[in-house]
Amino acid sequence: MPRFILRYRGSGSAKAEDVSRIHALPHTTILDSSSDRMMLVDGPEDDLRAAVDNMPNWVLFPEQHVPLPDTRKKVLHSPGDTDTGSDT
Amino acid sequence: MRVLDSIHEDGAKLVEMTPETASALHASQPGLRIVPVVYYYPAIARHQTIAVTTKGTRKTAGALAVQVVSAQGEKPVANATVVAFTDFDTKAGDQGKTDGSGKVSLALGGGTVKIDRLYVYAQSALWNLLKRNLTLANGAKFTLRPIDLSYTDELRYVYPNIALTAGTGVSVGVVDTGIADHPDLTIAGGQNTVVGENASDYGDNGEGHGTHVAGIIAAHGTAPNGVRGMAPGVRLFSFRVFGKGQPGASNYAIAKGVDAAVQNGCDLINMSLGGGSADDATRAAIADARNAGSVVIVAAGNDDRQPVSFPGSDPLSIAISALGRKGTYPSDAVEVGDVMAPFASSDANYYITSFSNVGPEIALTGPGDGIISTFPGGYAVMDGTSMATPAVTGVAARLLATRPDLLQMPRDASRSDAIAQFLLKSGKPLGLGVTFEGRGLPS
Repeated sequence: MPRFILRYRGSGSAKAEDVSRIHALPHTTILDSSSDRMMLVDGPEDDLRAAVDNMPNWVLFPEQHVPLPDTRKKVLHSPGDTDTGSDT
Repeated sequence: MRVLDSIHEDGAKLVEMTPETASALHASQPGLRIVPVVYYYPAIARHQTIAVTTKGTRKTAGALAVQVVSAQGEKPVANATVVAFTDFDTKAGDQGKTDGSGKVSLALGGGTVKIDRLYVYAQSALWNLLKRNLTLANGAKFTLRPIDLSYTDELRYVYPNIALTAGTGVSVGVVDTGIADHPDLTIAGGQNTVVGENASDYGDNGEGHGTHVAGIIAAHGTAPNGVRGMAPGVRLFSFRVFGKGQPGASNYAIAKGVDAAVQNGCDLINMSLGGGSADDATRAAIADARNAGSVVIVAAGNDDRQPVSFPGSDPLSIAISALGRKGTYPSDAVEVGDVMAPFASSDANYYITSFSNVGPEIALTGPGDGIISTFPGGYAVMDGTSMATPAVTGVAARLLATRPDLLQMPRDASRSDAIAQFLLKSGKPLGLGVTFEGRGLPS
């Protein structure tokens, strides 16, 4: 299941009642709540979006990953590759 | 600049302007969002295209054994990556890592093989090697030069004689792979924001990338026994967002790292990372950092002159391209392969590296080709916009330390806008063009 980020964008820390509401969502696992303005959760996107729609100053984002930068050159295929093939 | 349309008098405007005008406008009003017009198209199915793939019929190839040794005592170099291109343009060839005796076997065919380019990358302590147009035979030996910490690399050529007090009073956060304990580095604090890892373990995850970045900003060593960064007097914080053994960082960890840097009072936040699609979680963290008075300086990316990658492309980021300079690395170093036009009109030895991304989002450029810096257990040479970015961050910290009026402003968007404007105005164009160097080299 994809993981999602819930972020509070209001001033100060997130409201305790909003945090409680997120914790109480069915079929949702809280993976990290150590930040005072963000949570990482695992749950159905529709349910999460519905919850966020009712909580002012909260936004929902899917989790993504960024690769470690690297400038080293890499070989992509061996000199013996004769079939460049076609791929759709 | 021509205003074509306006949503309302004080609202967003559609304008027509040159990249030079956009760059000047960004420098004068860094809080202003300048974004290119994007066109969307109907989601109709498109014709399939043919793409070259890496799959194919691999012929049974004979193997060539080569050895890598250090020039210091001919010691075998273990774990060096040898990349041999029979055709550099199509990236054909073979690669492998050396074993404990410094040897690696390459499947290139028997007898002798013509090699277009051969790269040897050591993990640390040595300059990486580039050989071009050679005939490779079984038993060939390649010798790597040890790093001399007194060597004038590009960073020290451009910015010589840095005082140990430079940057005093400024706090800098490094959002990266963590920073290792090192005699040339003093870490004031930090946090590991990778889910499942210990929050207090903000040391290097083993990649060495963050330790190298940190040294460029804040190393306080003295040659020939150590290295010095651009602002040794800063308070340096480490926010580890790359987990141990993980190839990528989650946008959750990155956003949390940026938040933590703001909470720790970092005036400047260095992000030598990027790639993939734009994501709103990182974008929100950068915007919130700007609203809290911090400026985020981001690498443009290393995709060989492609458009600036995210989050460098975010309008509130200060995006950095990688500048190179001929003669600031050995004549057989891999950096020789990074030279590419255009060359600076002010000094033809300067160029934007072939790997650097470029575009209208570039705000400034910094030295990023063949940079000697700290590494877990010693020192290493690395290249990239990852290195150019901390060079700019370090210089920014050094300059900002001379402006207590900016540092003492309330921590809000006005503060970060004023710092960004000050930094952008410090750029000195080299004559490479704004899409390559932005406002130029800060000094």
